[in-house]
Amino acid sequence: MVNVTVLQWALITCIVLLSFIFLIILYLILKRWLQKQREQYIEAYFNKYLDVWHDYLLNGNKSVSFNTSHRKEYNNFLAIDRIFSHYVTTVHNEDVKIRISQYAEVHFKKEYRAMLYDNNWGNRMNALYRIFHFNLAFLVDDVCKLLQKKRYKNVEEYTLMLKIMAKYDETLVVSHLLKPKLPLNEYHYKHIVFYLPEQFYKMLTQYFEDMPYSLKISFLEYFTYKPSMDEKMLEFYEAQLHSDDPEIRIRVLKAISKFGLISNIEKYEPFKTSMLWEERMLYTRIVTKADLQFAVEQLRQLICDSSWWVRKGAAYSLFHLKSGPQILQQIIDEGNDPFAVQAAQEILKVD
Amino acid sequence: MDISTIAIAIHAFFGKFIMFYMIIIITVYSSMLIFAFFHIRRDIKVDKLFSAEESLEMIYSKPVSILVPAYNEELGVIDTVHSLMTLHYPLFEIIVINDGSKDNTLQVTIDHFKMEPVERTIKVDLQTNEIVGLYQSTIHPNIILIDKVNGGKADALNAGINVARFPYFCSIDGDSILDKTSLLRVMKPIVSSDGEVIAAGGSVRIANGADVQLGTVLKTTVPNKPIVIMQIIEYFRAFYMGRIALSKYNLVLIISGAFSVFSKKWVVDAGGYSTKTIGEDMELVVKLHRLIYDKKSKKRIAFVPDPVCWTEAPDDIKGLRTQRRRWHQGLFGSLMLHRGMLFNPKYKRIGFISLPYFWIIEFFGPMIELLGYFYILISLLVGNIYFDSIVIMTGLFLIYSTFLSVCSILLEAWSTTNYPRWRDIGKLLLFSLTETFWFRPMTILFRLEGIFYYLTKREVWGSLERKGLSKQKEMPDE
Repeated sequence: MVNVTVLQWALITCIVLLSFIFLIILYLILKRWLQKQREQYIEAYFNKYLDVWHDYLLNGNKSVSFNTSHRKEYNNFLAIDRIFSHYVTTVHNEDVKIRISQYAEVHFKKEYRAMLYDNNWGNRMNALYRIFHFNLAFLVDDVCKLLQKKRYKNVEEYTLMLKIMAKYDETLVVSHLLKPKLPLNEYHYKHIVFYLPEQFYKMLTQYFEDMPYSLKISFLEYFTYKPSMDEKMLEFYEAQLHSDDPEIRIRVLKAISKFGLISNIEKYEPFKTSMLWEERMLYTRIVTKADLQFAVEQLRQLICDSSWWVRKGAAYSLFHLKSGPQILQQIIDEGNDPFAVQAAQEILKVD
Repeated sequence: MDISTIAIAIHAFFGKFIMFYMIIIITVYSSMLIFAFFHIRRDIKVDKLFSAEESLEMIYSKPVSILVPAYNEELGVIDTVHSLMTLHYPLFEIIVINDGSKDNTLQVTIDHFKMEPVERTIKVDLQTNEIVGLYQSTIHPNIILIDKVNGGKADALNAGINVARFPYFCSIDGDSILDKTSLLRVMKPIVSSDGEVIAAGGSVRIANGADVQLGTVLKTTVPNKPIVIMQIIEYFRAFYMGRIALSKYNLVLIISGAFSVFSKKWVVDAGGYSTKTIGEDMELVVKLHRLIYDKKSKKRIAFVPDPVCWTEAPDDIKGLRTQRRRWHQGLFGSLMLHRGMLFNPKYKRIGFISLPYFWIIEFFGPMIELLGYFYILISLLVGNIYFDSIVIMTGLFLIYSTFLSVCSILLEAWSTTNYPRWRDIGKLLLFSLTETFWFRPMTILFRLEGIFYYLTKREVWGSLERKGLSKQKEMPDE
């Protein structure tokens, strides 16, 4: 027979667990009821005022019913906030954002500020998302103060704050970029750097050597997605081609291949025989910027490369040159290298 | 010493052994629960719309090839592909792999997506059965169809990996449906870690009885079939409790084959999916862990509770039996294939925590539970002196199991920010109370059958009858 004390403990545990089960079920039922009430309210609000909001946000028209649509009730705030979130993520129109921002500043300053200073991390993140997406400039000073006081719980919150500052006051971001208070990786840096104004970004190149490695990588990627290179920036990028780090060289080549601009093809020739297939592949893109005859000659060699990716890249670049399809057909007819023939055949059939 | 004394001693020994095992189970599950509680609670208020939006830009994401192995999936494959087409993701391709289906999977897919044969040079990183044809959709060029000689799910996935153009691939079952932002969310740990995470899995939910239109789950409800209700509870416990805790410490050995993302490079280096075992999804993950340690790398494998994949669960005993037998057979196969890692100092946490957990709790669990049932039966037959204690202890474990189920329902509600209807709570609670009396003994037998199949080397996938998740609408008479 099991010890009586053990049985007593087992009984007590049963009672405690049953109590927890009961409380959790009660909690679920209550939350469901509250959620349903809120959703019904919001749905009713949408049915009544969605058209009004649509007219205001897209056309700037404030109808009579517009003034009755923002009575100060919390559920109203939730409904309107949801409308704002929907429009900001589905309609890419600066006027919409301006109207949202103006409206929020007049009517919901207190609510969004309370969200930003909430103890709950999730609520603070939601506030930061809204400051960023709704352009709530009136809260940027608050974000700045929180940054200075290190009032962030983790790297996600920290990154979002820096992203906001990059958009509104980039000078404050520099020290955090160069000496971040929390470890930032490439992904985090990209989120911040991508929102820096282009002029400021160019100014930052003087700090390149002092940048943490992850920042260097993200920094170089900038012009891959914003192809508005000028000669000075091209000079900066081409200077990095001599880096010992292959990742840096690859990022540079990738950005330059998107520019449509090079200074001198001789700087890139060493990459034709690089040990790394990535560099050879990127060379197949860059060489198209050189003299046509030279480009064709280089690509005809690279279409026989040992790497599938390089061959494919060479075939693709050849196809897009003047008389490219004819050159590819020639390669097929000559039949000297079966891999080259295969690469040429594939690109001619697909495109 | 007479026989009765020996019998009593043996009985007492088994009683203590079962008690000791149950204490281990309770300790482990309670720890996982506490961990999952804090993890999910942290994110409960975050607006998922914006957290997904910030990953939507191309610059932050990595392109993904979605592999859909399909064997006799004519009923479900179109909905699956439709749900994939509506995914919010910057750049991806969908590769359906028809693994020598005997039904009309191939023709249905070709006709519906207006596909035509294409020539493409395939880089054969992994050996597979012959690819008979390659097709591309003329209306959606990012949909590719591979027609190949039957070779099983693992072989089909390997063929898909060979054809995949992108550095990451997502494997998804042929009858599964993803939420719009599922891919964004499951890729987030991979992208935000700068590639430190090389594989990630999302949670799987049961869609039986759900309202599915054109590949989108519009409304879910807990169906009335007891077998399905029990599986819903099981899935909640498995995904919202077990895997979250394991993931934090890089101990996950299973990320569901129904919905998971992998680095193509690492999978190719690991040799791809194994065709030698039925549990190819778990075996791949174990192999990846092995490779991580062999290369002395700091890469990780993660589980993300947030993104959701909907799948069809078996709704009859025959189907459930086939599934559970296969799962346990696969588990046994994977554990045996990598038995050299168990308690091997080279594999650190995997060797000393994760693998022992899967052996002791997941693998041996059914046997010890069966022993527990026999123990209770024998104790009751022996006489009344044991009756009170048996009732109280059985009651304790029953209530504890129900407590875990209810906590999992809560975690699921927090994770999806969608609280279940009180009717659904009632159904789930009622059936979780009955689990010990019928569902668990049944699945124990099925899992033991899986062990038997493994030991007798019977590699039979069996067939699960798919009913499809879309409701068939009746056309009005003209």
